[in-house]
Amino acid sequence: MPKKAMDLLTESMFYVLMAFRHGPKCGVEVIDSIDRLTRGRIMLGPGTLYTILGKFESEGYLKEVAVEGRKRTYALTEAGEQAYQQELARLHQCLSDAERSDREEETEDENQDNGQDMPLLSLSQL
Amino acid sequence: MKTRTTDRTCRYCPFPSYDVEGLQCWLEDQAEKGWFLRKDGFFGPFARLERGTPCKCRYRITALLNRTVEQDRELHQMTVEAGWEWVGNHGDFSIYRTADPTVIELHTDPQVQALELRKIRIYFLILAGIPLFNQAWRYWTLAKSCGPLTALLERGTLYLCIWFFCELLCILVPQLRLGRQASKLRHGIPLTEASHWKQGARNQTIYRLVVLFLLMGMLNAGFAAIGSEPYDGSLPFGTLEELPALEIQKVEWTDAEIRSDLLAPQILTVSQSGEFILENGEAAQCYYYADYYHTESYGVARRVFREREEIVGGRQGIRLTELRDVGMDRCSYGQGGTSVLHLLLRSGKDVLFVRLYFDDQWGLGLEEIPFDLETIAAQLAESLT
Repeated sequence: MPKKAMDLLTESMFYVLMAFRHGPKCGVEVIDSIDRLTRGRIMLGPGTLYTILGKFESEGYLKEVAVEGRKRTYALTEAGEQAYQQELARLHQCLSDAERSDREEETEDENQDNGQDMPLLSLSQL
Repeated sequence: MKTRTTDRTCRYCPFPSYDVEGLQCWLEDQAEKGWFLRKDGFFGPFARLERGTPCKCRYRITALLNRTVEQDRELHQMTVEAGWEWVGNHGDFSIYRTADPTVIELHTDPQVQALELRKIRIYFLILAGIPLFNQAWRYWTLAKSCGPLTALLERGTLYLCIWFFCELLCILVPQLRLGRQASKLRHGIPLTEASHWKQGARNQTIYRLVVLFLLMGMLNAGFAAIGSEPYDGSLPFGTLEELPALEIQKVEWTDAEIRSDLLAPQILTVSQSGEFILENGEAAQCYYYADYYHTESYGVARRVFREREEIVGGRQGIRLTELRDVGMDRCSYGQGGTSVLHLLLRSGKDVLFVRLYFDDQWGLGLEEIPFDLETIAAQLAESLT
């Protein structure tokens, strides 16, 4: 059965959930948190951030906990935590599959190398 | 010689607000030529631009529907603080620009931007679907009372066809365009560069011209269909004066209107009121209502006749008697209640429906029609041939 849109989180979405695991945050704090977590690798644009926040709020992953003027603070819900853990497990699985694939490839290479060290027998020796 | 420099201009913009990719490219192209969008510079398909120093300027467009009003305000504040300048809204989209290449992009995740466009697609579909649903419901209501083909003739065949086609275009074209953009985004391709945007501009302009042409045709067809004119020419069928069986003493008033349709080049509606004398010497009134269709083909005439026959004979429960050997393809008559006579005639491509109401001097329906119904039907048939 094909996965629905919210079953697959993009990298930006995953890091937004990750940022909220460390406590309620407003938009600016999320961007700063992701910048720090990824050491500047991921910079979230405001359009992307607020689309994600709006989507997560409608999906029940986030809930609004405080309003100070224009600043709105959100917190992760249980559904959001569950979505984060599912995605983390999926990424771990991908990583372990990749590592296993690398090990299998190394083993095949070793077997091939061992095969090349065997001397060729001449017909008279057979 | 002094040359006059213009600081402001108004230009036709080929891209609608939902064509994010094309609109961004067009605005950036204008900026490279030294023309910049003024605050809230869009009105319809035109953009008000002002002179500036030509530069490589980035324009970015974001949809307004995906967030609450408060979230939109927060986004706006953050975007401006990030170094973007808000230029205004265009439809359901906000436009920002910056000449600083170091300012972070508004959208850094194309797949998330695709989610934004998805909601816009649904919104546009509902927006365009409402008039279609409204028109379909109105047609269906009319068709229930008089039959589908007759309803077409009443509302205007050409008008409805053009309207329907126009509405389909207005639904499909934005959906296709938004879908194509969303597909690009889902594949991780941002909408920041489009190599064939000029071709897209030509296509959009052609589409707009087609819709404009259709709208003009629709207006024209609409006026022809529903705008009936008074008619004082000779009628191709008999009225109260030509029905001696009714013994009309005087015709008090006559009203005749003519209009045309794609399927029936001549449609006449006639109403009359005439006075006659009852056996007891009292005056009575006869009201005559005729709907005449000179149709385009025999098939259309047959179909229109059948629809009316089903309504009169079926739905209204009036027992219709067939009259033969009167020179008609079909001739039926039936009495509705005690004081209404329905006459249905078809000859070749012509169809005639007549209703005769018989009232006493107080405006109440007579207890019985004091004339021979078959004779009236035969005389009407004779007048049509």
